[in-house]
Amino acid sequence: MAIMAIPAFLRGPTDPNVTGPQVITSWKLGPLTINLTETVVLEWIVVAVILGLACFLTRNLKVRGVSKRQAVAEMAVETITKLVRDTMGRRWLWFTPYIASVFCFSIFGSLISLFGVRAVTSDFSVLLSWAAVTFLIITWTKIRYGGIGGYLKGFADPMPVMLPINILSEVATPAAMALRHFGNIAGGGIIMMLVYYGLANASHMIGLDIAVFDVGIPAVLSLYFDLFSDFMQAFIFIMLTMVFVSNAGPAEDEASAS
Amino acid sequence: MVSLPAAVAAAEVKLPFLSIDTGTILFTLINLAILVFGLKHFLFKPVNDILAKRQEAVDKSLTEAEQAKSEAEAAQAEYAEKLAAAKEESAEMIRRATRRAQERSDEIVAAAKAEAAAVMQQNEAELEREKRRAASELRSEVSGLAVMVAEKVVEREINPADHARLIDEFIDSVGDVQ
Amino acid sequence: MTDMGEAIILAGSAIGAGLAMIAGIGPGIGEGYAVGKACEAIARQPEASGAVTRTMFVGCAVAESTGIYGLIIALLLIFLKPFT
Repeated sequence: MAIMAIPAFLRGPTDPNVTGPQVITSWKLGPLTINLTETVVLEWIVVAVILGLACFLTRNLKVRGVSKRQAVAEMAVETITKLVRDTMGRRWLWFTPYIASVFCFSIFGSLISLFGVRAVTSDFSVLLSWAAVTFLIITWTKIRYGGIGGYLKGFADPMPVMLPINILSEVATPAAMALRHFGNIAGGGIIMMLVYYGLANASHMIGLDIAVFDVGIPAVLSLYFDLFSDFMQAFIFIMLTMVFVSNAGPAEDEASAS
Repeated sequence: MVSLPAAVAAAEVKLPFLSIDTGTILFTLINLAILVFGLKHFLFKPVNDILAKRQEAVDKSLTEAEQAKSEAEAAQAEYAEKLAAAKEESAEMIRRATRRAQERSDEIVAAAKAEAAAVMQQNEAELEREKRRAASELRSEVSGLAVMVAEKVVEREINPADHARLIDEFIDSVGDVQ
Repeated sequence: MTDMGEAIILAGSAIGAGLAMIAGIGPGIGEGYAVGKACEAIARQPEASGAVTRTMFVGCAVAESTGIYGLIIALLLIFLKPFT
């Protein structure tokens, strides 16, 4: 039959299967199993793209006679620097590259799903590791400004009975950040997948083997679930990181006075 | 229905939807570190360098412009000061000349007035003296005459003829005197 | 496991997923309220619209997390079928 000759991908998704990333290879390292997953490969691509873009934008910079490329690079740097300065204060300006990195990583990692692969940020491990970095920085800031004793005493504040609750809230901060980002991107991805699946089934129902409804219609939803949601989640993730980290230290005027 | 070959599907090992995978966490941390250092080195350092350089240039030209402006203002202030001083000086000169002329004319008028007054006074004094001298001369003359007349009378008896002649003589002498 | 048992578990999972999505009510109300207040604030002080919008988005994101937890639970129940 001629109709059987069409490639499988033109039929659209036929099996709504929700899984995690595919494991490509794995190594045994004592009790640990180190998996090299699809996500990590995509991360490499994302990192390469971001760094390539950075190199491209900052090629032959000039003081006068700014090219469009340089204007974009300057605007990006100034915008993120201003955001960090406004949110965290002047003494956290060294933190800007980390914020910029997480922001770019998150946006590009989410938008890579537009090319038909799994979004990097729909893997919970990725977000958990970012949130863990944030958690480490928060802890480091607390210890740096309050000393180890002050940090430990902070858990028994305002009274020792609150100890478990304080520990829970300390751990809940990164967990909530990771879960929020993961839930938004992965949930959006699943909903988009279900939309594609449903539209493909609808196409098959009216007798077409090619999923014609999958062309164009999901783009409207994709605007929200991919573009808007990706940008918002990246922005919110860095905003929360900045707010939590700068709140871990003393207020700006106290720090500059001491 | 076209489906993937079963062998390939079976070979795919997939992690569960919500999984915490040590390998992924490890690789993600490494990738994040690479990205942070890469962005710092390839994006932030050059752009911030350029921004700092441009800021420096702008500051420099601003400083120069401000310096030039302040110099121009100083020069202008100096000119204005000089102009005001010159005006003041000329006005002072005119005032002084006017005052001197006024003084001079006043002096001249006063001197003329004084001279005239002095001349008048002198004349009056002369006149008075003349008058007084004339009066005193007259008085001494009259007394002399009286003494003379008395001598004449005493000298001889007087007859009417002599009397008349005497009187005439007297009158004549008086008339001579007059 | 018998077919009947599996069917009961699937049905329970589906019902549980539906119940989990009740968590969407709270963020819906809360975010609507927050956006309304943000609109009022922008109407009163249009020059502060940037800061208001930024703060509102962050607040909305925090308020939304409970709904997202519900969504994750629902997705797990439907697609991961952890009890079968």
